[in-house]
Amino acid sequence: MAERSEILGLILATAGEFNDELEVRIAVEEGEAAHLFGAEGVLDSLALVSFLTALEQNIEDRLDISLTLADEKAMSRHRSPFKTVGSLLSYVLALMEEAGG
Amino acid sequence: MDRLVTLITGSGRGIGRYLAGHYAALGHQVVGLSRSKPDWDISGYVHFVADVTDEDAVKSVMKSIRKDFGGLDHLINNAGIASMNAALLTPMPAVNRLLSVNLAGAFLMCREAAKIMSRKKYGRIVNFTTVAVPLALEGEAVYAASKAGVVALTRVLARELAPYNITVNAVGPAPVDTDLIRSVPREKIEALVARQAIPRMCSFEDVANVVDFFLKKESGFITGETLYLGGVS
Repeated sequence: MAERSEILGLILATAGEFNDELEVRIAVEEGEAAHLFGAEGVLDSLALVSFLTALEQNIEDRLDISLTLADEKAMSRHRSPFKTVGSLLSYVLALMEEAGG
Repeated sequence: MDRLVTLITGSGRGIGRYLAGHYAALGHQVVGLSRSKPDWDISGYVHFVADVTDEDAVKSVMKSIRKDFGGLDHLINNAGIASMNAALLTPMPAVNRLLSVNLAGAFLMCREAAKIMSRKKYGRIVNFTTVAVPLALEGEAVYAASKAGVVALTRVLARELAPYNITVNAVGPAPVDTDLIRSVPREKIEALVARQAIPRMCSFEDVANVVDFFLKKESGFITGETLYLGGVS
């Protein structure tokens, strides 16, 4: 099982890659509190899809684990797992546990 | 410009094999995919054994493409199966297999290819449909339905992927002399060809010409279109 800090690092690194393209940047210095998506987020739905795709690829490249982050279950949750870096981190860890990673 | 990376499904034989040679000769890095290892080799070509309906296998191929070639410029979604059967005599396993390979497989390939292409904000996807769709060919209900699904898939993906500068188009060949139609009675093929404005068999070169057009960098304003060959629309 990958360390929590390792996954957090990957999420923040992916956010850092995206900041070059965003008009309003993700506040990566805030760590888990940084907003991603939703009322206070900086990613619109299109950017969210790109971000999750990039994160899937980074996780696969670094940890050799294949995850599908933007699935129907996640999108229909009352509380979006994509709201903040912290909620996304919890979601990724839960998916990895389900996958036996 | 870096060497173009072109992924061709169903590249083991027929149209896919021809296109593999065609694009390798044009200097592309060609990546082929089919369910068995081909008995031929071309410079500039690498092959993966995978089924387009196997999600894990497709993801693994895409991972290798990202690692080995750094990205993907073109997907030529050629893999497909055909089945000639009167609707009343078509067994459900055949229905499920046709829809799985021709439609679900095409979708899976598009989805995974677009994930790689979206990183570089560039891509060209060419799907394969058939003249059996506009001709509403008797005896090909499920095959034609699966390929009509590919036309719809092409149109919707064109809209969803346009923001990533990825175009999605489809080519609909008339009958080509390949293994795909070898089991179809000769008189059926002749009757089909007779319904075309240009009543002859389709050649590999005819197909490559359309694919070339859709893949061109200059074709960036063309998306969601289906181009049928032989004059059937």
